Amino acid sequence: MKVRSKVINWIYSLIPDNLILMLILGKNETLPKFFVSSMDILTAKKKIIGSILTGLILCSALNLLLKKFSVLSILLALLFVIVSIFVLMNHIHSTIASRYKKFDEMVFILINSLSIGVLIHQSLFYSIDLLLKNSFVKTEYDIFLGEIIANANLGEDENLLLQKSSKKFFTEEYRKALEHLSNGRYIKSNPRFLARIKREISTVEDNIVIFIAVSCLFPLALSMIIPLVIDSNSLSLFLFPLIFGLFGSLFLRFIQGKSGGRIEV
Amino acid sequence: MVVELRYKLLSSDEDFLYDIIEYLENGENLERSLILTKSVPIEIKLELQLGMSFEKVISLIKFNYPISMNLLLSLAFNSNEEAIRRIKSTADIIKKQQEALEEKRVLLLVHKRRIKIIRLISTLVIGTLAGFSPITTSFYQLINNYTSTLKFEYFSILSFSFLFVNILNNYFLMELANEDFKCRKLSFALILHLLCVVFITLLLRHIVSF
Repeated sequence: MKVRSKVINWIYSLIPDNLILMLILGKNETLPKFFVSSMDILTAKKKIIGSILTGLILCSALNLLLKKFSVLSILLALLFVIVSIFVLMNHIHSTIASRYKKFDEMVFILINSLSIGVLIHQSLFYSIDLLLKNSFVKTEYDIFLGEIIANANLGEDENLLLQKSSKKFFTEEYRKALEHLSNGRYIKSNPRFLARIKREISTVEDNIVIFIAVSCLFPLALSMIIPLVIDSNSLSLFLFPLIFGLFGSLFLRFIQGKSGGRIEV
Repeated sequence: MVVELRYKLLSSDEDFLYDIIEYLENGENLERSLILTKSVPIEIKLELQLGMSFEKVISLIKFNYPISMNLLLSLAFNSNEEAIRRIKSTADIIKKQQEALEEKRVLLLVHKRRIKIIRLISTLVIGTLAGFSPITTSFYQLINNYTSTLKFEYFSILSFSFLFVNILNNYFLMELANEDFKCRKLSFALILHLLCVVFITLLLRHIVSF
């Protein structure tokens, strides 16, 4: 068992973490790295290795079926691996995005309770400690608070620390409120949240139109053209679903980027 | 393994907070206002009367949002008017957010139903296209060789590529509607597609034989 787990760990260590972070978060890094847990990276690695293995199996199966070595089968397998990695990473991205959104939705309760704590006890770290000590349930907010306390114990400045940790919030109002916590600021209302919800509701209608175009018209148009251009007995016909997979996952990412993560029901 | 004994609130979070604020404004202390409210289960009140500290009792309650606990924990030891006002405004925000989220939830249920219909129809359309693939194949032969032979096979490479498109399409639409049991629904789509192909091929054979 030990040898096996060592081998598996060695295989996992072959894939660098930074590459996976880049694949999950995208180029712009709209999500902070705080929300990517080590479990997410591990599942991403598992999925990448799984898709590469399936690609290899696909390649060898095609070669066996054709009874000769062809470059096309390698190309097809490569495309399959790329598409499947793209689709699977997109799934992980959307779960992280929805986790982030849920964190941000209720963070005003945390800010207000900290402001009450500062008001009563006149000390930020004491009130954070009070919250941490008495809560049974470990949530993401506790990890967030624990990070602040850990950095404070290392001797960082209070205002600088708040400024740094406020960057984890999505909403501008919450960021400012946390930065000026010691001045007695707290969140009285959040019109931005209501506006965001309204915008999301209107984008839902939009999404359907986009996806009808992609899911119904794209295969229809391609199916008219492709059989007339490519021989129906050649394997290059499988390019068609692969192109569709690439386009579909791109559109999905575009839609989810617009509405800020997966649409939760 | 430690079994966590936690009790659910009898009302929503914001109603519970409003109750507590009301008693605090009337001059009661925290422990007494917790006993007086009706939204807390009787077991919690018993624990408080038996001498458990306020902070521990609060962490025994199961809130809808676990973070609401922090609001009451920050009130520990004492409270003043300003603190009560802040809790009140927080409860107001929770209520407004709840209303907005409820509105969104209702709309998204309709959205889910729409996508379900789109999914079914597009599955059938792509399945039908796959069923007609022998005809498009013969078109290709006609264009290239000026002759064609109509052979109605059940499955060809073209119909398999349509199968992949169908499954991918189903997956994307399910991801868009955020549905559960994806594997089960995908296998249903697969069966539907195969049924479509077989049915249309049988129909074509029947028409040609006449």
